[in-house]
Amino acid sequence: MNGGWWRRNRWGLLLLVPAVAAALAGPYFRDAHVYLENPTEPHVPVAGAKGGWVTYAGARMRLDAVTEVESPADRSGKPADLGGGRVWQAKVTYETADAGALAGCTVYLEDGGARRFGDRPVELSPVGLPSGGGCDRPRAAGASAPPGEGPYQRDYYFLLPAGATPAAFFVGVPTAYPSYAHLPRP
Amino acid sequence: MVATERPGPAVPPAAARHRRAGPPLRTRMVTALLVLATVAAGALVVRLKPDQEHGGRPFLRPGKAGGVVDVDTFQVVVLDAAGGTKLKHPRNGLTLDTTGVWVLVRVRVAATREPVILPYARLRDDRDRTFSATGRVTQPLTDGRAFQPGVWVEGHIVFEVARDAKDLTLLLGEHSGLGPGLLTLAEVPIAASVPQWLGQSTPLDVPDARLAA
Repeated sequence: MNGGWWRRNRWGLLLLVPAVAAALAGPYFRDAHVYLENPTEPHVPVAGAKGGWVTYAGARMRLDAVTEVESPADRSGKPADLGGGRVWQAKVTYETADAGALAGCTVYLEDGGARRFGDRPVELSPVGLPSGGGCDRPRAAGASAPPGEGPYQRDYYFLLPAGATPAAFFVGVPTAYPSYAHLPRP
Repeated sequence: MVATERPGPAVPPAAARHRRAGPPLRTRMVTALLVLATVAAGALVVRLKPDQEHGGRPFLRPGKAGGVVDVDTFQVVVLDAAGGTKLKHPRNGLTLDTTGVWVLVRVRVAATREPVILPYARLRDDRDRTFSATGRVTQPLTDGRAFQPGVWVEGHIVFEVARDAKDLTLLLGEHSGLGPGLLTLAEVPIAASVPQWLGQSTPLDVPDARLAA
């Protein structure tokens, strides 16, 4: 081996560097893509107009209203101690032909700072709120009752700290991630 | 039958029967040393390479008792701590004994961006031993409660630690699989006096968590 060999092969040797780098990094590209995109987390909004319908996860949905629950009381009728927080009710209408389209959904109420609040938190358990949750069609009384048809409405309750104002409603279905429905407050 | 001589291998000339002279001894020794040095360097790299446990160790966000510790997804304030050798069960009122010491750490917690659950609660002592939040009573804060953004909840985390534990530090964070890998944990020393608490035999109460104004 002498200087002539290095001269004759200099281009091949130079190209060897990126080739080895690509061979080493290639297997990690997919992992990096999955890590950066993270399809298991909802971060791609499917937004609609205020009070308008949004099509998401095989269903249509619309935020009808967000209103404050005035003077929430505990089960004995006394004013509930909520540490200065305020209770908000959201009404959402859904429409889908697939009964399981919205199974396992997660809902949040978002405030102006994009903070997300969960439905019926344990802090609201002293308040006598109607039970509920989820996005599926409410079950009719009786196991043999036929499934309903057409749009249906669900109610949600949230506890927001003093000063926070609802701005939008979030609906996420794991099978539709990373997309989620973003329904602005009417 | 005519005997014929079998053709044998060609007899090499006398000079060629000697083995060809190899490299000099010095060169061989240098080669051997280089091989040994390469093996030793490889072993050193393997030894120095961080293991999975080290690579997945939690990020610690240190703070002081009484101050707000911001841990990205939640905030916590450690208020105070109490201890004793007996605990009043919050459900049935029975007195729970221990061969160690009960430690109640009073904290105030709120999420920052969205609901968060904080099941990772440990007390670490001066010898790096960690004590989990006890499973002998229902934990008001760390048994699956979802904290809401900006909604401060105050309550106790109950621990059962060894009698010789000293310099206790609270570690608090989100759940992540089986271990604390790639977690961010609040790390707050608590004002603990285990020797003093050993003489405290009045059963400790575990109040319900409540909303803090």
